[in-house]
Amino acid sequence: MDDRTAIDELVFIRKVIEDSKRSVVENGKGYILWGILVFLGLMSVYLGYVFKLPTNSPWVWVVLIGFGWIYTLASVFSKKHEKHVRTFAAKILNSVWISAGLSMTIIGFIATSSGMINGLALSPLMSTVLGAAYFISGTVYDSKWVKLLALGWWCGGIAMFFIANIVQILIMALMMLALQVIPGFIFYLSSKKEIK
Amino acid sequence: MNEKTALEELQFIRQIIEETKKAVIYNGKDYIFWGVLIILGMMSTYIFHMSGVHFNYFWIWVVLIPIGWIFSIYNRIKLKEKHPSTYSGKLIGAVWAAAGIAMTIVGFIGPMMGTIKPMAISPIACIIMGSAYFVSGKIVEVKWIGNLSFGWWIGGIVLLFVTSIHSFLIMALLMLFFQTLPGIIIYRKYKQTMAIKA
Amino acid sequence: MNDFDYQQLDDVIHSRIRLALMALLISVEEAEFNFLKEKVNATDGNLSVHLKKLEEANYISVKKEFIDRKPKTVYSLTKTGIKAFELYVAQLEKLIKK
Repeated sequence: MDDRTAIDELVFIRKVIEDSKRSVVENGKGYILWGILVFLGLMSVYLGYVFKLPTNSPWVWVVLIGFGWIYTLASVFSKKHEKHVRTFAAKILNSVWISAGLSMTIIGFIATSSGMINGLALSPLMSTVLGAAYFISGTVYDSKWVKLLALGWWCGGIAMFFIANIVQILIMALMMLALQVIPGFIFYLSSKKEIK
Repeated sequence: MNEKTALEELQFIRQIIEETKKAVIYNGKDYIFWGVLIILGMMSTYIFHMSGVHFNYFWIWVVLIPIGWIFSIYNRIKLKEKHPSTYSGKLIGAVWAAAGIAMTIVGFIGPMMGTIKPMAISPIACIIMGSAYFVSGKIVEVKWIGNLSFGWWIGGIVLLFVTSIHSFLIMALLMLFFQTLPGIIIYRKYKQTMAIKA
Repeated sequence: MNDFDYQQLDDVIHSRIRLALMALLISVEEAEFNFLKEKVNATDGNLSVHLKKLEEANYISVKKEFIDRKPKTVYSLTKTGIKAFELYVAQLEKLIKK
């Protein structure tokens, strides 16, 4: 023990901290699942409208969003049961996405059924809320590219306020792929790399 | 390994220690200022409408919201000068900046394009506020701040069904109880902390 | 760097395993016994002894809970622990700058 130097100690502390941080990286599965679910919902609206299919039904959304929530709550619950370790950042990210999800669910279901919000306002509103969630996540991760996703969502939201027709739905679907599903895959791949 | 590298290691470790402390020094002035500003906007719209003075009320907000942003930025700069920034402080800043940007987009661009009815702005703002309080409560680890989110979410849902002018009055009350008063509590706590430190 | 003054360093932290435990716990909110065991690569008995020493110094707090009817022991740093770790790092810095 006596031949250790102060610098060795510091290097050791840093290594332990980094190793510990690596144990709790985001696996991206939630991002991918929600992105795909919303993409499917949007495409069912778009295709239903263009090809006059019966897929343009609120029940499609009830099933998709219901499934998303069941998956999310089940994974939060199972993680709680595993409970090997809990970090502050993971706790904040959980609260960001749970609250964003809750906000979007209120806007998507209650606001539309009250008649206060029309269908064409939904995509820009969701996009704006997602922008906020990505901005906070980017700060938690201290990641510029995640913050840039927020900018993408906000700019997309503003643009969609100007497009009051069915094309808006297609744009939102594409944004879901580009700004949610693909980042989810990036998280997933980097988490796999970290675990290795 | 040279001294420079060792100091880099130190910087990294220090940052982790700061993150663990979760210290947030916040004076709550933003909360109070924004609360009073929105109450002013809501009440003036309500009173003008009730007393038959009609004009495009949108202009009230064109004046008030930039004042709020200027004050917020000024307050942040002042706080940064007084206290070193911490990880939790940075997160809180990000939460409210994100909520502010989202509400500004919804409140200005949506109604300007006619996609959002002016009456829908308050409930959507409430829902966004709910999220911001929920996350803030987790960051500062203060339960009552987190619980304010439920007030905002419930208030937002109620406002979705109120289509009359009274919606403005309800929003003003929500701003008073779930924004301005908590701001005053935070401000008093800040003053106490500063007095102890002094 | 050979004139490393160990006298100044906190004895409770100044051990490879306890230093690792403190560094682990400083980077997470709380961690379970098994997580710590896996990370520091120690036996149950050895780890328990070191954790006990940190607990006695009031550097860590221990929470026992039942999850799925299985007992789990969860550890987290106390404010005293955070301060002690900070001081330990500050002393290392002093030694480097000497």
